[in-house]
Amino acid sequence: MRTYILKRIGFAVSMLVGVSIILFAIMRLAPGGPEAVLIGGEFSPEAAAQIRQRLGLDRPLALQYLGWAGAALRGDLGRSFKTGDPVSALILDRLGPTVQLTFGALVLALVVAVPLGVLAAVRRGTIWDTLGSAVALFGVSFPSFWLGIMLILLFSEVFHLLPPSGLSEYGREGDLAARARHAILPTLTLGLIQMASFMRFTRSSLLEVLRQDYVRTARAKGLGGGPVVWRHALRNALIPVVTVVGLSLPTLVGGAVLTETVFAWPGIGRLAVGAVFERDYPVIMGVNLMVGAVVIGANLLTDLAYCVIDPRISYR
Amino acid sequence: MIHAILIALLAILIGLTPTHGLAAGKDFVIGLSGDATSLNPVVATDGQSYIAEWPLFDSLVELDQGLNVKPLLAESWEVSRDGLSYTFKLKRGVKWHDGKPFTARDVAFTFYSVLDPKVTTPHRAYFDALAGFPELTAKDNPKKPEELAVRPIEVVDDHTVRFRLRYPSGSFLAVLVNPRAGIVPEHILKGADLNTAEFNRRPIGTGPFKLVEWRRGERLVMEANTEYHGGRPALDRLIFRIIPDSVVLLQELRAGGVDFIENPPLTEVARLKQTPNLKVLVADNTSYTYFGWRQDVAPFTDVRVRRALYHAIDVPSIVREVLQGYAVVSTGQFPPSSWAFDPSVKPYAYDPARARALLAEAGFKPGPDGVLAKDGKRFSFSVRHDQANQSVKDTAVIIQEYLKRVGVEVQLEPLDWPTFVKKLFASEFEGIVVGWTNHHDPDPFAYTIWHSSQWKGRNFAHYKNARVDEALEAARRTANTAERKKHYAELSKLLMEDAPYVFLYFQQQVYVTRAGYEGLVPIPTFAGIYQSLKSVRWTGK
Repeated sequence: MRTYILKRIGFAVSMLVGVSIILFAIMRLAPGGPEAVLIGGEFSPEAAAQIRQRLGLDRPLALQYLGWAGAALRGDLGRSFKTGDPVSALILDRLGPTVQLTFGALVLALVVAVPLGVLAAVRRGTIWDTLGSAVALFGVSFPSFWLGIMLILLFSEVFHLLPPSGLSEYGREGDLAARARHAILPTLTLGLIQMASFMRFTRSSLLEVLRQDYVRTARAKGLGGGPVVWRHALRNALIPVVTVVGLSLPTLVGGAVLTETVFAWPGIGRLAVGAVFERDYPVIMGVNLMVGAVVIGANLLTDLAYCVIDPRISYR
Repeated sequence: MIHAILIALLAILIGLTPTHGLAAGKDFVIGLSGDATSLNPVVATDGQSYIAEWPLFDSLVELDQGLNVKPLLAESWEVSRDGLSYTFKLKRGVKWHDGKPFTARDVAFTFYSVLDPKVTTPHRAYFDALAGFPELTAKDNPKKPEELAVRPIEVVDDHTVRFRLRYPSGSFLAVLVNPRAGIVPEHILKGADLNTAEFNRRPIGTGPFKLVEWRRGERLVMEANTEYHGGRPALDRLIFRIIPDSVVLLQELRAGGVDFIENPPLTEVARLKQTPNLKVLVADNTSYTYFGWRQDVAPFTDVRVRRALYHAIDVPSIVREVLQGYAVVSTGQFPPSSWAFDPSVKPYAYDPARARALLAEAGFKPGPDGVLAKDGKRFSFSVRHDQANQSVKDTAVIIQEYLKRVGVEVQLEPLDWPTFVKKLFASEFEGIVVGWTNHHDPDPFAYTIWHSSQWKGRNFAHYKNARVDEALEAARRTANTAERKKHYAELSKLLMEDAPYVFLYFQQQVYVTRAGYEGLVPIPTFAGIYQSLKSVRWTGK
């Protein structure tokens, strides 16, 4: 097991190096550059040349990459071209809101999707099944930016119940109720999208398990419907769901990018979007490296989680 | 478990309606679509930074609503008879936000920094008239001020500063205003690299507000400078909230989360005007949008073709449909609010028949597919534009349709802004739809856009007309407004005759604020309204 984990970590590090090289190349191959954004409406070629020189963009590409990678190995991700802030500080500052949003959305999605999936599987072919499928279809059909705006219009403009955007109100950052109100709409937006796939997977996986012989045996032994489903069948049915939850992390982060932009949520996603539009290379590199590390780490954790759920699985 | 979570969610939903930690009337919350880059007026050049730095810094002079200069940090000034020397008497008792006194040395330091070629600032070109400009700003071996025979900026005493020019300049006073000429403190910045100084993130100014917090991408918070030399502002705090989505920004305004926004979607303005607790303010602007092309590439080298393109497009209909009427049809480089504007210059009338006739005269004949052709070459070209600017996008689509009607084919190429700007300044385009920010004084932009010496700069469309060059040079080298006006009138006439662009429109600036806040003055220049934040007060009506 330990050898396996070490091997996987080694593999993860080489993956990250590969990701950083590809990302660096793609970013520089993309047309445009940061100077247009940094100078704005008063653009002049002289000022642009001066900025490229100051930012070191006039050096050969390979040297630029080696310079960046060397500093990154020492823990220095560079400074934002736009504001001059250290990239690591920017990421740390935004990490909290993104973790809150994605974790909240994940929990919400699971809390709603798993019971709905179970209900749809157990009551297969009834109105519950149809209703569950409709919710799933609803979730996968709407893009988060559209859903977000609709929720804002409904809960903020029509019902005046929730604030349209932001993490909290100025001067009330410590007020948990205020923070919770601000979090509801973005969490719901992001959660609804995940809910759909979790619900579909729970349903189909559980249906398969319910057909297994051991379930029939359990029933034959006189065990009630509830314990059979929740204690015996669901536990086995959850393995593919755990895989989907693990694999959904990139989707969640991707969804957070749009959701954070719509709700002016000061997280990593918004930082990344802004950085891409502004060609803020150090920030793009830093954020993607972090997201890459999280995704690779999540995949590793998913594999390890199998052992906990199903004792028959073990790694050598 | 599930029930507990659902009940908690419901409790939050039902029990609590939005409330605000902000004090109504004492805080003014401004919604911005993007964050500032730098809060140092010497190096900041983008629109959001201009807005955010305005309340923090003062310039020597500021503008009134008629775009005339009036005293700010300078109490008064004298211009020598030959127009080559400007002596400013500075206000006494002015303090920096850290309590240190403001002196003439700060003024000299600021403008020497602007002239320093190591400092990245496009503002440098505005000070071309200063004595020693070429020597101080040379790329190779620039001179230091003390090496010059005549010093361009002289500290006479703590409260007197003198500028020396190498030619009389009518635009000199006009370029000394915010947000491009805010004064920065020598005692903090001396010896620092202005491009990267920590000051750019934590600035100290003499302005009516002090920066207390800047959370990147989220908000900027400023509080009133109680010792402001112009009197304490009525507001306690200014809060700039950054909300990128225009629909959400508008929703925040309606919900009370922000008190002021600029440029709402134009289709919403009529509805906003009818909203009881909101007020819509409209200001003229110096920025204009145009449809241009490479002047030195056929068939645009033929004036008949250029005029035909002008005749083919119904500009007033674009103003009506795309801008919902919130724009003025442009007749050239200068907005109607500028003293340099010449009302006798009229644009080419919308006349598709005339356009077809001119194109036929230029040798174009309809091809088999309906597109005009000359010497076997179809009249078909690409038009590049910024993909994120909705009104520009809509304008480009309408232009494509109008040109199709006279047999000219256009392929639209929307590009993201960094790519687009790079291609513009590399002159890599056939046609473009884009705008110029412009300046309230005619010289800084007119000269750099139209003078033939500027092909590697803003004259990326490669326009060349010796008479235009003459008019621009003559206007630049006189301080006499009547004479400048004459030269600029000549420029406007020549440009309309030449039709190097289809000058489209000066889009107005639309602002929406919560009713009850008074004192906002929409000065007709880029972001001019933010100058008046110091006089905004809550009346509650």
